[in-house]
Amino acid sequence: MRYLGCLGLIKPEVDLIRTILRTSSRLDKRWALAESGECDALLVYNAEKSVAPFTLKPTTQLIMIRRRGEKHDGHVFLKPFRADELIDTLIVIDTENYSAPVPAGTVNNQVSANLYRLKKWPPADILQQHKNYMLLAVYLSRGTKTLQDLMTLSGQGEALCNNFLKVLQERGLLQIEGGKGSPIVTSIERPARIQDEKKNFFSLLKAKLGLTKK
Amino acid sequence: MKEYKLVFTGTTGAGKTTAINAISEVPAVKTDVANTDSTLNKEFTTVGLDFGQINLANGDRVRLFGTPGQSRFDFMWKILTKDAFGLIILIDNSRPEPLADLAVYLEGFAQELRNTPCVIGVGRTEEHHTPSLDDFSTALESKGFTLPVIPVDVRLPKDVILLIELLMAQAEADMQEEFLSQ
Ligand SMILES: Nc1nc2c(ncn2[C@@H]2O[C@H](COP(=O)(O)OP(=O)(O)O)[C@@H](O)[C@H]2O)c(=O)[nH]1
Ligand SMILES: [Mg+2]
Repeated sequence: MRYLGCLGLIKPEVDLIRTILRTSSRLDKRWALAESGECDALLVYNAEKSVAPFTLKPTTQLIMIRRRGEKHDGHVFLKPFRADELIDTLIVIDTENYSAPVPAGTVNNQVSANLYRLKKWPPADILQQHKNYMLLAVYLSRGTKTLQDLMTLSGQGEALCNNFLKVLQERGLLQIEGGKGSPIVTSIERPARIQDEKKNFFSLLKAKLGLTKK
Repeated sequence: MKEYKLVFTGTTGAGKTTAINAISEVPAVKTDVANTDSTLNKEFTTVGLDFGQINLANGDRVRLFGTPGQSRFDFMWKILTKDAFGLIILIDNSRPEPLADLAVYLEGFAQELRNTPCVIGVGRTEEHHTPSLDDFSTALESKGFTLPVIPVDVRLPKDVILLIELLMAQAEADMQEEFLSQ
C-alpha cells in the first residue's frame, strides 16, 4: 500500500481525493490517504517550510498543486482538479518508484502484438508537461509501434506504457491495427542491431545536455 | 572530428537567436556563409545566419544554425537543413496569424520533413492563448503531420533542451522502424 498525504488542502478537497483513491479501478486500491506520518507522495498546496504532520522518505514524491496555465515542473496536480489527472500522476509515481525494470531481452508473451500509431499530438491535459509522456507520444508518432517497442524505446515499464496507450485510445488519438502475425522481436537483439554512429552521437549529446536515460 | 547540424527556424522575433544562445557554448554570432551551390540564383552569394556550437566529449561538434530573419520562406533554408539531424520550428504566438506562420514552414520544408525529425516550439503562449496548442496539433494533423507541439520559453535552457530531446527521440523511433523494415 502506498500513502498519499495532502498538505494545505481544504477538507472537501481531501474528501474528494479520498474518494478517488477508494474508487478508481485503475488505481486498484493501491493508494490510501495518510493523515500524518510517512507518505509515498505528498500533494502540496501553497507550501510552508514544514511538511508537518507528514514526514518525508527519500523516495517521497512531491506533487505540487498549480493552477491550469501556470508554468510547472515535475509532478503537479492542476486546479481545478480532475480525477483522471491525479490517477495518471499516481500511476506514473507507482511506475517510477516501484516497478522492477523490465529485464533486457525478456519477451512477455502476454504483451499485445497490436500496432499503435499516434494520429495527432495529444493535448496538454494528457501530457501534463510530463516528459515521460511526451517521449512516449513521440515514439508513437513515428510509424506503428507495439507495446513492446514502446517499452524498449522508453525504458518504461509495461504499466506506464499501457496506461498511456489507454488514455490515448479513450481520446481517439490512436490508430490501432491488430498484429500482423509477425513475431515480437525481443528487446535484446534490437538495440544491438541499431547501434551505429547516430546512437553514439545521441548518447554524447544527451550527456552534454544533462539528459541521462534511466 | 564530426560535425552535426541542428537548425532553428521561425519568424523574426520567434526566438531563434535566444534559443541558440541558451545552449551554445560559444556566444551566438551572426555569420555570413558563402553560397557555394552553383545551381542557385547568383543574387544569393551570401546568407546571414545565427550560429552557435556545442562541443561533445569526443571532440565532435553540434553546429546550431538559425535561419535568417524573414517572414517568408526562403529556399536557402532548405540548403541549410540538408543533412541536419533535426529542425526546430519556433512559433511566436503573439503574431497575428501563428497558424499561417506554421503552414509556411511546413510547406517550405515539406521534403525535408519526410526524413528529418522536427518539433514545434510555441512561445508566448501564456500571454497569448490563441491559437491553442491543440489548434496547432489539429492543423498539423490535417496536413498529415504528427509532430510535437510544445509550449516553450526559449530563454530557458531547459525548454530548448526538451525540444532537442524530443528530436532525438524521433530519430530513435525512426531507427527502430528502419530496423524492422529491413
Ligand atoms: N516572452 C518571451 N519572449 C521571448 C521568447 N523567445 C524570445 N523572446 C524575446 O523575443 C525577442 C526576440 O528574440 P530573438 O531570439 O532575437 O528572435 P529571432 O529573431 O528569432 O532570432 C528577444 O527580446 C527575446 O528575449 C519566449 O519564448 N517568450
Ligand atoms: Mg535572430
